[in-house]
Amino acid sequence: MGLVLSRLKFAKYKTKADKKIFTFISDTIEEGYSLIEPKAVYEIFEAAIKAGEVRFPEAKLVIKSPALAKRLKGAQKAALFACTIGGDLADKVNGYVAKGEIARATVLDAVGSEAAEALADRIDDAIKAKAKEEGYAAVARFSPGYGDWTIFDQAKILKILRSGKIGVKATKSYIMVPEKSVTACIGLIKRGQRPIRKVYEKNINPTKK
Amino acid sequence: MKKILTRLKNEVLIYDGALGTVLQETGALKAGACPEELNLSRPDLIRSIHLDYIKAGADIIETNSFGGSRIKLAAYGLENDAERINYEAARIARAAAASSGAYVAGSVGPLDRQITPLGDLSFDEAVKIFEDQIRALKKGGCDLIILETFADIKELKAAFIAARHVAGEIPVQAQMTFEGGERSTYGTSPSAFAVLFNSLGSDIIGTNCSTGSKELIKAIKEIRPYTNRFISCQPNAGLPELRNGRTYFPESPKSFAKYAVEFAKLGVNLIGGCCGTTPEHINELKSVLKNRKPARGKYVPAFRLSSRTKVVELNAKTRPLIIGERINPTGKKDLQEEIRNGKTTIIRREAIEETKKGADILDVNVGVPGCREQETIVSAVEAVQAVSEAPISIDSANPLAIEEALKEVAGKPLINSVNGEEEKINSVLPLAKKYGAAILVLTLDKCGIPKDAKARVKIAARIINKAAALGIPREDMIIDPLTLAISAKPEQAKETLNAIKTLKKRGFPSSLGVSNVSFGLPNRRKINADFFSLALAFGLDLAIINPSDDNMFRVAKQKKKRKTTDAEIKKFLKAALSPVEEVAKKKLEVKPGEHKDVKTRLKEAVLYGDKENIVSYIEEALSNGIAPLEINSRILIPALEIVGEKFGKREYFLPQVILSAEAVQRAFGRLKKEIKPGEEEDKGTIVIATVEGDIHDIGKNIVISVLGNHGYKILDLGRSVPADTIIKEAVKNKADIIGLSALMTTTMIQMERVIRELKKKGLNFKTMVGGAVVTGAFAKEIGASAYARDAIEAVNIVKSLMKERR
Repeated sequence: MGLVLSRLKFAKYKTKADKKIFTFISDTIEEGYSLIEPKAVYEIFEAAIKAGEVRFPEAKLVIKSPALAKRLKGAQKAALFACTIGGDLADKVNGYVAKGEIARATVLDAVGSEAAEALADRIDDAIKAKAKEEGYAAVARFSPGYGDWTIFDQAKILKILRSGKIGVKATKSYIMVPEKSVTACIGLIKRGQRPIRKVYEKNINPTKK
Repeated sequence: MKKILTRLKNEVLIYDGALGTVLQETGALKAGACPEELNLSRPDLIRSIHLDYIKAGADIIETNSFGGSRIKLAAYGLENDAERINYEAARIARAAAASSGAYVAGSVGPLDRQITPLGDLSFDEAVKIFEDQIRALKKGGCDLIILETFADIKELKAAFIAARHVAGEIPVQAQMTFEGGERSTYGTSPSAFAVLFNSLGSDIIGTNCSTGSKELIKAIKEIRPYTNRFISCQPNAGLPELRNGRTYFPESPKSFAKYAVEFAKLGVNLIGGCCGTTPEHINELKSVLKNRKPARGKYVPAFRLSSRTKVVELNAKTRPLIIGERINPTGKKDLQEEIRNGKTTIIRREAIEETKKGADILDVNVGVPGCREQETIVSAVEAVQAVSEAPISIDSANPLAIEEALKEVAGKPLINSVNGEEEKINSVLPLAKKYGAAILVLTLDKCGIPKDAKARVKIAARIINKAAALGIPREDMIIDPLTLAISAKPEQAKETLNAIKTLKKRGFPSSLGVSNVSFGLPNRRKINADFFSLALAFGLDLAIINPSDDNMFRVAKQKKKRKTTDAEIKKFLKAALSPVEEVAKKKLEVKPGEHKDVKTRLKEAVLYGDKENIVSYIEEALSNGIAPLEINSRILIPALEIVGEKFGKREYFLPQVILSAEAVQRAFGRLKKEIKPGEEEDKGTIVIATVEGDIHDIGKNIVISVLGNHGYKILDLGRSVPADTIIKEAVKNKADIIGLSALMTTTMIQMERVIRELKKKGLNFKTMVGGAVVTGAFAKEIGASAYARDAIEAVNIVKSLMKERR
């Protein structure tokens, strides 16, 4: 609720809203829950970082973005992911607009944005956990549109991830459909080799036959 | 050699410790290499570790095959060696154990690829992959199969079903790992895990890995009351710490063994170690647990269901359990339509709503003629599980659909239903056994519903006996003696109620679809509630009802004491069948603030966005003789201005502004009928569009809704509108201002195009731009007349632009 409110320009100590508004918003959030169908896809690639660009040889992808290259500095691998909350929510928003219920549409749209953001965080966590298992540390995620990374690359990422299977496409103007979808890249840095300390050394003698 | 399960009755057995961390220690396992591959390249090494553990006192050793599934091996390019690797794993362990009589447990770990809906692997594929691995382990020689360190209960279920299928009589041990001893990564609690695997018939239920012994004590305490199976526990040697750049497991063998004694006291039958434990830990375990008799845990059989995260139990406190009946397309056109289109929006909404109202179990029925129920029920179950923690009741007449749903469910569900027909019994009972489900038994058979209570109980008894023969415990059976409409056969109420009483005496819980009783009668809600309270007095345990009916919940909570006599039943029938015409006493609605002056009320209606009442206030003002234009300019517009100010001071936030605008729109709609053409002032025309390529138009819609109340003529061209169309429409409608919206950096360049075209054509419309990524600087750069940050600012800008125009 808090996140949705602040997205709707709610100021904690200034805004005064009555119970009716809060009920209206919490009802809409609940409605939003039933319209969300989260799906995601990710893949981890080898990544080569050079001045101002990041190469993914396996995926035959080159991203020219000094900002991304800086963020991924030191990474040997990078995960690309796409996620979406599905198209039902956007359809409903448009339905409300058509009926002239702009307030409800606006709140529901904000719910969708927050849900997509929260979903991206979840995928982020999943990739981090996976990376940790394999001895990598993950850096904060970066999306097309941040800094100098052009959103034209969104379409390329979607293609590599075959995002059609989760129902995400890019339009000719490089907008993702359904609207509430996110693509991003997460750099993975190999952690230092940390051998396990031989605490109980004397008991382990593997050469003993 | 004695069978392991026989020995467990009288002994606490010791498992070995870690293999993986010990292998890393030896240096034979290079970083990034496959531990299971060592079964082929270094069998001597693996064997020596097994021997170390046996020497230290392990009664059971685990094969080096934790990551031996085809999927995990594929990460090292070893998928084609999967069979050999697993076979060798078992063979090496078997050879090492030969002289000591230690048992060999075939170790199976998670696949590392998630099953739907968490991932893209299907349940059936997962079962197949586990089967391949377990088959090879069995061939190499195992005394039991251990499924360990699972975090997703559905994946563990797949592994278990594979193990039962392939391993046959070999005992199966199922273990999950719980973070902090409380929840698995995907939210499963130890109790929810225990309930499902007790029902699935796992021989040993337990937990391993996690953060250390202390946390696992919590998990064991939670598992204990929910199972009568043997319990196992293999903790890590504490939580790994980084010291001087090295991973270090802090728990010493002494303290590890101290906890082990506590485990034994809690009733754990098998104790060993996971990551970080060594033969010294096991040696210490052996010395403290030697000759220890297992403690008996207390297990009370009860009807229990579970979801991925939660257990629902029938007991004196929870009785009656409520099964929500709303996810059922019978008589619901919109739900039928949705199911036909393969959507689940209504299903999810109903699931949320029913859970919120307090339903304990959600019935899922998606039987629509002409639809493949096997597919629709899977997506329905998936949708319900995504939004609700309540366990599921699978409601279908089609055994194929039931089986697909059983695979999808991440807990112990109820199957609704089986009846006395042989065909049904033979198809549904084995499914309940295989997937660990409870069953709702309808007391009818080929001949229909028996007239009297006795015959109904007889059918129930027959089905219960068949189930018992398959190994389904009686506490997993719920009997529904069936409610009939009293409008047709009033005497049937007595039979139903007496059947409940008899079942209760014999120790069987009962369930009813309560609302059937009032079919065809007026005042159904009252009759339902009355019958429900009577049925509860007779001993009803579960009720299938509509959770939105608050009356029923009231009855369920009250648990009113009523006599269970024939006289009481007669009283109920009389009340139900001779309905008093209910006099419709319509309360005159007194609206709050009625005493206030209508002008004040109108103003407040705008300030608080009261869409519902504003039109009636307008009517009132008009009938009081206030001129339409005065209402507009003296009341509505000033009130809107206050809203704008409040937004500027951040006292109001976006929804309040829009709701006010919507209220005023309704007021205008009414006022327009009063204002004669010509009397209306022409304040100017605005054409608004979201530019080509952009489909985000929520911002544009907000602007229109706010701007719409200030007397301008507004043309909304919609979204993704080409520059040519925008210009054409502006010319055609003699617009004063063109408003352009764009949300993306890729589409905002279209704004520039529109303005360039305008200049080229020598058209001097004013232009106003806005949208998430648009800035004042950008507006200036492309030569727009103005940039509006938000809808309120747009109102002021339009005002001044119009002034410039006229």
